[in-house]
Amino acid sequence: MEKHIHRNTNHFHRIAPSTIWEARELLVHIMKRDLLVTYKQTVLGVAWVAIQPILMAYSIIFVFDYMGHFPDYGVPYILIALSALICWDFFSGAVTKGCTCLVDDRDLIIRANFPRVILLINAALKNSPGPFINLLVFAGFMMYLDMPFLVTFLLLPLVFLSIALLNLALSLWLGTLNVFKRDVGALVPYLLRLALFVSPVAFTLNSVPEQWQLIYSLNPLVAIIETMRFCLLGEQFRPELFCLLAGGFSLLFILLSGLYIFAINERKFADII
Amino acid sequence: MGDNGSGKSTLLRLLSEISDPTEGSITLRGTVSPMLEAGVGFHPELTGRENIYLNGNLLGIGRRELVKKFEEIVTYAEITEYLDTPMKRYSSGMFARLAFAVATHLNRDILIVDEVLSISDISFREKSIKRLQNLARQGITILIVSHDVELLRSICDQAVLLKDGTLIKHGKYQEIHSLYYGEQYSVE
Repeated sequence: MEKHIHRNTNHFHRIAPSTIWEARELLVHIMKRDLLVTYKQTVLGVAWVAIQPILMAYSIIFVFDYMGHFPDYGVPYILIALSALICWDFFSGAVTKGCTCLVDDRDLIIRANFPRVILLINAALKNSPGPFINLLVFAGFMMYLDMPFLVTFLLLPLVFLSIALLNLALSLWLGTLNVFKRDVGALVPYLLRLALFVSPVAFTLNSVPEQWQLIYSLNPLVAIIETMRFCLLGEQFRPELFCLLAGGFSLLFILLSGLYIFAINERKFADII
Repeated sequence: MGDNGSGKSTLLRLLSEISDPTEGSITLRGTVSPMLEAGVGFHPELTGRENIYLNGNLLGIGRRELVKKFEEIVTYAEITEYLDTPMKRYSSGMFARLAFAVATHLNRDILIVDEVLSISDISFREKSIKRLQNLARQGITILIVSHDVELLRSICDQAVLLKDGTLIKHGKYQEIHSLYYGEQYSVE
């Protein structure tokens, strides 16, 4: 077997799906590593995955139910908040990780040759048991509140897939930029806080003035969270087509541009990181 | 061989395709271990067993082959009883032994070794030199960077001398050895 390595002239390094497929075992091991390492030496262990969203849900209930007023959707407010928090938790955890994952695994990048996109995929799926545990918690609340379980539950994998893709899209962008300038890492927590307020986590799309809804829906999280509510809580949350299209379009745009940004820079990582 | 900063590790990085060359091209005849140092990716919180799989995967080895070699690697590294202990409790010698064992038990035509034996004790050091000699006899190309003269003498027949990123000379080990060390001694 003979192999030639040349100077890379166009700087574009295509990410072939086959290379990702071949590295799937590595992905599984890196995921396992991160999961094991995160909860080692904690008393509550993996239970933290479930405790965090419940605590957050209660703090939101407290703010809105006791201190402010919130429109009645015919559904207990905790379910509205919790359904969005399941998405938000998955999203924010992964994006935080996605931004720093390449720098965190600097050692691997400068000393081993493997498809680096694996690290970003791993980040995008960070804590992926989390959403499922959260869903169980949610189901518990639904039973407690005597809510019916809907057939639309079956659409949930699609919602999670969209979140994972959005995570990957943003991780490709932020992770790559963070390799070059660490300012990105310092900025991301604030951007996420901003994103929390401009996403319909504590409210729904209907609370946004009609003339702004289309532009607002360019935030892919809007379509994702609204679809999530539709799946879990039913008809009154059915997202409008324009909302899904706008969200899908911007998700695709961020993902493709992210892949491009990553691909033109991947081969420079080892020298710069 | 060469001074610090002469480009030894850079050369290895290019060969294992971690960095791209800025000019010129490289022809490789055979499979290369895509890893610069033994033990890359070892995580202190994980057990020896978990780390063997992670490290092996980084070398591009599938689960099936790892399972087949697992016993051999563990026995060779002499860590059988500590297999399920987190590596942060390992001594540095155990760490180095396991790293060396994984790297040299996987079938590659070209094995890249960057200063791996510096912290092993004498008995393991001898064992690993033997292992490298054996691999070389099997037809595996070993590319080693080291300042350890005795180690180099016992396994190398060819050598390359680098200085400031350029090739000074490529030839028989003995010749390059006397060129490099001769020059240094004469400076002193």
